[in-house]
Amino acid sequence: MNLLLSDEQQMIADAIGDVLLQEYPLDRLHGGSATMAPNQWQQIAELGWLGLGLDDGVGGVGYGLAEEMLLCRASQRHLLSPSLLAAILGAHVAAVNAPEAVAGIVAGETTVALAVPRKPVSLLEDLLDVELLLIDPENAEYVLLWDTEAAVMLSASQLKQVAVAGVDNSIGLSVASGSVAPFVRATRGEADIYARALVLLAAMETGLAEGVRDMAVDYAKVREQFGQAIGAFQAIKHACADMACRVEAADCQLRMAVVSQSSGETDLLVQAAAARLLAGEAARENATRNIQVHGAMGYTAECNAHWFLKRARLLEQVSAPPRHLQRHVLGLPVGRFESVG
Amino acid sequence: MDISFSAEEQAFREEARDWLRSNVPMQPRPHHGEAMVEFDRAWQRRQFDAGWAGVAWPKEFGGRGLSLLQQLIWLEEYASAGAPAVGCYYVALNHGGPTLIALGTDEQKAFYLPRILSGETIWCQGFSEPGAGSDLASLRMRAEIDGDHLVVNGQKIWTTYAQHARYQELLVRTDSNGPKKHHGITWVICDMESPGIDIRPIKCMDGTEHFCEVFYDNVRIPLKNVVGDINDGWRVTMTTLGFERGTGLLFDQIELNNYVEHLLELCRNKALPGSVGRAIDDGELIARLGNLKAEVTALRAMSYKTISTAQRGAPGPEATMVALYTVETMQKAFRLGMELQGGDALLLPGHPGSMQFNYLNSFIHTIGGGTSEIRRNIIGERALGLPR
Ligand SMILES: Cc1cc2nc3c(=O)[nH]c(=O)nc-3n(C[C@H](O)[C@H](O)[C@H](O)COP(=O)(O)OP(=O)(O)OC[C@H]3O[C@@H](n4cnc5c(N)ncnc54)[C@H](O)[C@@H]3O)c2cc1C
Repeated sequence: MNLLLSDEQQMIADAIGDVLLQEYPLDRLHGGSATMAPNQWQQIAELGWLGLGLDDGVGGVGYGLAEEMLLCRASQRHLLSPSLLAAILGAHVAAVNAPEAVAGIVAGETTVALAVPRKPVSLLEDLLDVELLLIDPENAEYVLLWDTEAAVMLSASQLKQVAVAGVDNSIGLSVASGSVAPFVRATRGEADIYARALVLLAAMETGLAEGVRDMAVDYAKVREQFGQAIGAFQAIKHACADMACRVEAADCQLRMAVVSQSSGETDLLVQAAAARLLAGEAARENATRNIQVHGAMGYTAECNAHWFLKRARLLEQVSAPPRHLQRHVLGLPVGRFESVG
Repeated sequence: MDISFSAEEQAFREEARDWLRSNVPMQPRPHHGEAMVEFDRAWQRRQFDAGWAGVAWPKEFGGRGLSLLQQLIWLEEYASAGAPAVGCYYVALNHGGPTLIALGTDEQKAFYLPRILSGETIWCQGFSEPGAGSDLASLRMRAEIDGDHLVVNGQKIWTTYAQHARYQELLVRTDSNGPKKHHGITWVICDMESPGIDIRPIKCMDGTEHFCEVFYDNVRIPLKNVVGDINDGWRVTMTTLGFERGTGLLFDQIELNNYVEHLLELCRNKALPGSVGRAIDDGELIARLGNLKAEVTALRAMSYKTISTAQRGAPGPEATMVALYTVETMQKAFRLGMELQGGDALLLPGHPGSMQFNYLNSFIHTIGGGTSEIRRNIIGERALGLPR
């Protein structure tokens, strides 16, 4: 038993961190956007990021969920587009029943967007009657959605799309609808996308919570009022300590979820749902507290604090809501129709 | 990252499980008085006779000398088998004994350690004073050197099980003129049967006499009972506190997990207060219980990670985060347990371990051994580097 990263995993995490620090500073969001340009997709594809956990036999790098977790966690410290997750999961879905599509996704040439259903849909039907919110849909060729029973990719071109303004204004949003046959479908028995997504979303939320913890602590050390750094005030210090505890709990549980997947433990769903519940709470709560720690500066568009809060709110809507996660950890059933998206 | 245990560790788990299965006492632990002491003594003796006393202590001092991972396994099996909490022997086994092992003289080790393991002597901890709680280093109880003795006068308070203990790890002030309050403190072993000691039990909110006031009137303690040097007691205290390797909370965490499972069972069978439907069909309640279960699940992961870190070297300040998270989660769980019972929460069953006792006693953890506020200070200052 060892929940620390192996030397190799640490190297991977460091390498990912270095690239993100150089290429994806948060300040890029001012007047810009988190939507990635084609050359950026190709750059991260060349680093192997989009096929990290995919078998080498199907065109991936051949690592596992642990390495995908490290990537996803780091990605939200820099608020990378959530389409990163769509690409990672999309490649897994394609690998099952559309192997010819894997190469394009892993090469960063075909982009995939996440979707949030606006009305229930059963993903096992031949023809899906969907109404969706597409997250960061610019240039996306496929749209990915999943539930406990299956994951599907739809062709974006077959959907009617209208761009709309979104709360997370670092990326675009559109309303999409149509009645379409999936381009590819993987059922639960073919690939457990649902649990994998829970772990990776938990990773993203943990990374986000970590990022805002550091941002709050850094500011608390330099901002002075009443003749001292505000971090000396216990109201601020304890808020930061609580942020750190939330991150620690989420991070440890995240590791537990990853190892229970790789060791084939039967309680993967419980472990993954617990990780996601804690990570989501950590992301939302830490992002909220961080704004408060920053005072009026935290309320401005210029300060990066708001991006984290908005992204936390966005991630919350992807896949299972807390209501379902709570049932998963207790081992209670969730109605399938309810669990869509 | 890896969750598996080696074949050797698995075999050890089997061995521990087998022994526990046939030796864990069937009857519940009495929660106070001589009955409690007798119960704890018998259980300690039984573990000692079978070679399971002092699992974390080195073999040369009579312990079992388990590796950190074996300790983890032992504690998991121990708690799963429903074995009782360490009880009256907590200070002796987890605090006083380890301090002697680290800093005691050969003579001190030879005399005190075997008596701890065999269950012959209970220890208590005389640190807190009426004026020195969270700010422990401000303690004032005086000890003057007189020949080859220390002469102690003053008062300690909140001394758990002082009325049952034979020895006490006692902090006294031997120098009030040091540059800082941390200087001038001495760590000494006090025989609780010495003349001049007056022990007055304090009644706690659950009705038990968990801790005591202890008064010292010209109590003479041989200088050879000093551990470390005169005026060096703060360092001695810190050494012991630094022993935490991540296993300290495992027992409570596993018990807490069982408790939450028990709450879920209750929800399946009971109506919610003020309603006729089953509690388990109540969305809000399930949400709270689910969040709680997630937190309790994470506690195990947090301890595992601390232990993983400790295997490489000293565990970091995250140990304080685990402690804070554990006690806060406990309190939440016990509060939910009370709410779930509806009107029956008013009853105080005579047996320990009831939900009502758990609830009342949840404050032991958020106050004793460092308050949650002090823990947040430590996390803020030592883990995050915020200014004092
Ligand atoms: C069940 C139990 C068993 C105990 N057993 C023992 C024992 O065996 N031996 C022993 O020596 N002691 C024992 N104690 C005492 C324990 O160590 C002290 O209660 C603890 O250190 C807190 O001190 P205090 O009670 O004086 O509270 P205080 O220090 O007076 O604190 C009162 C309140 O002020 C807050 N506070 C204090 N300082 C700060 C600060 N700097 N920042 C923010 N908040 C602050 C505290 O968090 C608390 O909420 C026991 C206590 C309990 C509850």
